[in-house]
Amino acid sequence: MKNKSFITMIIVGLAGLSACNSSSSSTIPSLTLYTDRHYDTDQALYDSFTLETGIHVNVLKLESDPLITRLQNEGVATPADLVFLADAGRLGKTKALDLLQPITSEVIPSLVDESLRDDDVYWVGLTKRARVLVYSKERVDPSTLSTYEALATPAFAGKIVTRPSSHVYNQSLVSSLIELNGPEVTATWLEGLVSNFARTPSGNDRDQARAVHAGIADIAIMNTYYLGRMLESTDDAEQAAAQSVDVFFPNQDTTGTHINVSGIGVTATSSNQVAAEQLIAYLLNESSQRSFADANFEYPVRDTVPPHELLSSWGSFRSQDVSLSTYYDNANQAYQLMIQAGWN
Amino acid sequence: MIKRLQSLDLFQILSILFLSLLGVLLLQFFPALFTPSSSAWMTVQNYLLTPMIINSIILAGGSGLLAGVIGVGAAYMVTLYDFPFRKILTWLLVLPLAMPSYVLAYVYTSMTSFQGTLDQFIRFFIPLSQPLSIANMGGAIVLFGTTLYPYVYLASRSFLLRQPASLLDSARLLGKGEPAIFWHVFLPLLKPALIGSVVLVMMEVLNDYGLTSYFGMNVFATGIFRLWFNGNDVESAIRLSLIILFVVLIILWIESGLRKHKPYGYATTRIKAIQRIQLPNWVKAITVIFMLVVLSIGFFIPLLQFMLWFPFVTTVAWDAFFSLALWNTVALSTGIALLIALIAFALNQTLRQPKSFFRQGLKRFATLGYSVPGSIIALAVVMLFAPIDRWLFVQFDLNFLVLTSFFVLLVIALVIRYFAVSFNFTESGFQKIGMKFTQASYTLGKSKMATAFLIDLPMIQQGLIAGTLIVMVDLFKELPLTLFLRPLGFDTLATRIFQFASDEQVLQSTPLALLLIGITSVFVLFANRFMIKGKIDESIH
Repeated sequence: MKNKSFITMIIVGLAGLSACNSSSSSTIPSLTLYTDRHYDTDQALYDSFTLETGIHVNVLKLESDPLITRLQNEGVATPADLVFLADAGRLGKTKALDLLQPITSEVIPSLVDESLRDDDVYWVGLTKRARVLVYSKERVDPSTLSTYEALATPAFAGKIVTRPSSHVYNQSLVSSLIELNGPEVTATWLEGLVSNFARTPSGNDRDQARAVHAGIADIAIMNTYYLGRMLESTDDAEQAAAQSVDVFFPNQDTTGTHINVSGIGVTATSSNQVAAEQLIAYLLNESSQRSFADANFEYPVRDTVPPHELLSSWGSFRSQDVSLSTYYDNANQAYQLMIQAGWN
Repeated sequence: MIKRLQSLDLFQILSILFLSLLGVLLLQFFPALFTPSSSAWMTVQNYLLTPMIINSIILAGGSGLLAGVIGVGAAYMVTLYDFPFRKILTWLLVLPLAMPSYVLAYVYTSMTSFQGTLDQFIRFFIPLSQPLSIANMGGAIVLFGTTLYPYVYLASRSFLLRQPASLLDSARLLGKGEPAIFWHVFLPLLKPALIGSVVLVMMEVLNDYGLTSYFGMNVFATGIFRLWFNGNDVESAIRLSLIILFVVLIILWIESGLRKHKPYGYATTRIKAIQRIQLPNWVKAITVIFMLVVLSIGFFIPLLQFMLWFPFVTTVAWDAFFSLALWNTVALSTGIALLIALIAFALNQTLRQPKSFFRQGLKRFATLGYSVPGSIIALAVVMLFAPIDRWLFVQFDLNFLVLTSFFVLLVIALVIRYFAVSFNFTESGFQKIGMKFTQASYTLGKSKMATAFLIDLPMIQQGLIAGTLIVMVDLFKELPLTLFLRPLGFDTLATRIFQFASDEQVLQSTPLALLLIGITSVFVLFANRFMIKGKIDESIH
């Protein structure tokens, strides 16, 4: 008797589990999107796409690298139609692993500047961000700031914070510098930079701004949109931290400020290419671009859509003239150089 | 041979399947040893490996030591002495087990950052010259120590409750002071339970991915994912896995050496309960304050922070996922905990008699999953099953990944990961009852199955239930395996909280975190009751 009830319990438990399984062979047209972006505002855009077209969007959220590994393991059988990642280096990796197919639409590439998409249009940027220097208004005279390269000089000893080397944003920054300055110069630069760190890198980008506010460091290397989101935060401490700092676009007189994109591509095995490209086009339309800009303080990729007022107030800036494809090409070398320099 | 196969019962079949699966998962790692080293591996070997091993050992050792001191101290005080609030503290002290380490990491990072709640609070009393910092080795050890000590506390307390008062009375009569009684009488007796539970804490720490990755620490669990995901270098990840397995085996080997002890038995089964005595007032005060500090760090401060955040939660966070994530968490944890209980019962039945070195070895092999980082389990499961999943897809012209979609990968990984907990509880139950009743039942002509369910199960049920409850607590909190192996569209409370944290919006995870902490707390308290009632202390080996 006990035997039976025990086994029944297990079966009921497992049946319950499979009941929540959402992948089904329903007839409603649907797209599956894998993304490392966690913003609720993105979900709102997918929802309005569904309202407009009747095409449902299933979303799997995971960090970028596990996401690519998962896509690779699922291979031909992956349910994913689209990949939407917050770093050009990781988009490059996805392409290099043959997990993407080129976008066939002629309209899509025309909407996005050449510098913000893959050379062969395997993916296109949807939003842009700059990796800038965020400095303490109280303690730093912005005229002492100039370039990323200068951060390695003794003048900045103990004054810099950023997140760990394992994070893609930093890897892509270093990749771009390898492209511009070569690996030897970059290796030396990294050593100088790491020796100037105010603390062992930890936390996320917001934590770096907070560290500057707290006086742990004077300068944080971080992405622009975080500052906007901190200013709008319901958390007083975050707001105070954001208000105590200002943005500096480095390398304006030399090679330009490092930029990155959140970009999207169609998976190599997707048979829903038409619908997938329909979603990409939707995310590139002016109202979606407006939404990315307003809700998340990202720079729109469409020239016709102005950035959020806050970003405009920081002024326009000159971007690095480096192909985004090199972020992946140099990623492995960048990471190894960072580790060798002691950037944890 | 055929005849032997036919005579296998359900338990034996289940045991063979489980052990073979473990064997295959482990064996597939070895070919990677013979592949040439990649440049990424050379960088790891030259720059990361030594600090990784040292960091892991310091982190695990430090946390184990802290948890050991707190756990034994607390258990000893509540069992032998009387002081104000003793009763309520006795059960409150298990609560930190309900707090997931990654939640602690998120909350404390936010609280200790400049003008975070804790920072402001401290600055109100003393001007800080240096800002607080929690994201370091010391911070990690304190957080692990103050949340994982309940393992030691439960094991020690349950053990102490079974000790006869005569022991204590004799020592007191012989004029020993209270400190001497602790050091010379109880601590040696406690040694096996203590070492076992401290090693358990160390394994939990070595396994942790949530806190260590958030703090940017270079330890085993983060190292594997770094190589596998970041570098896309499976061979190097496997190499590192094998090195970690080797280190873990050394720790387990040292542990088994330390645990060897003479069994202390008592001539009578009528054990007089220990009479608690009053302590001097100043000792009482220190004891209560100490316990409150530990409880605050490991449970109440984070809880209070979430309550303070509660009014700031925007409506977005109360999304439709909420109820589904809750149901998913409960269903997944219940299903897997019951499956683990079944396999643990089956394997114990199968390997119970006759006792041999080989059978003991198989038992330890079956429980190895608890000692290795979850990242290694994820790697092994994906390596074996992803190709099968793809093959099924192509072969049967399916339109979805059948193994992934039906939770096969996730279930296997979670069963392997948490099997040891349930198995050890069950094993200690079986050891206590011995073979007398079972053999009597066979003699009376009852079948093996009937005996297992009618005789053995009722006698070991308390251990089995306590073990299952502890597994459920672990499963509620589980993050990395669920995150990586879950089917499309499946979210648990833990994965939702993680998403908010990734989005740098920890505050918005408040309702989910409170819900998770609430559920785990209830289960921790239940487990506590069962363990104390059943006087189960052999939770580990």
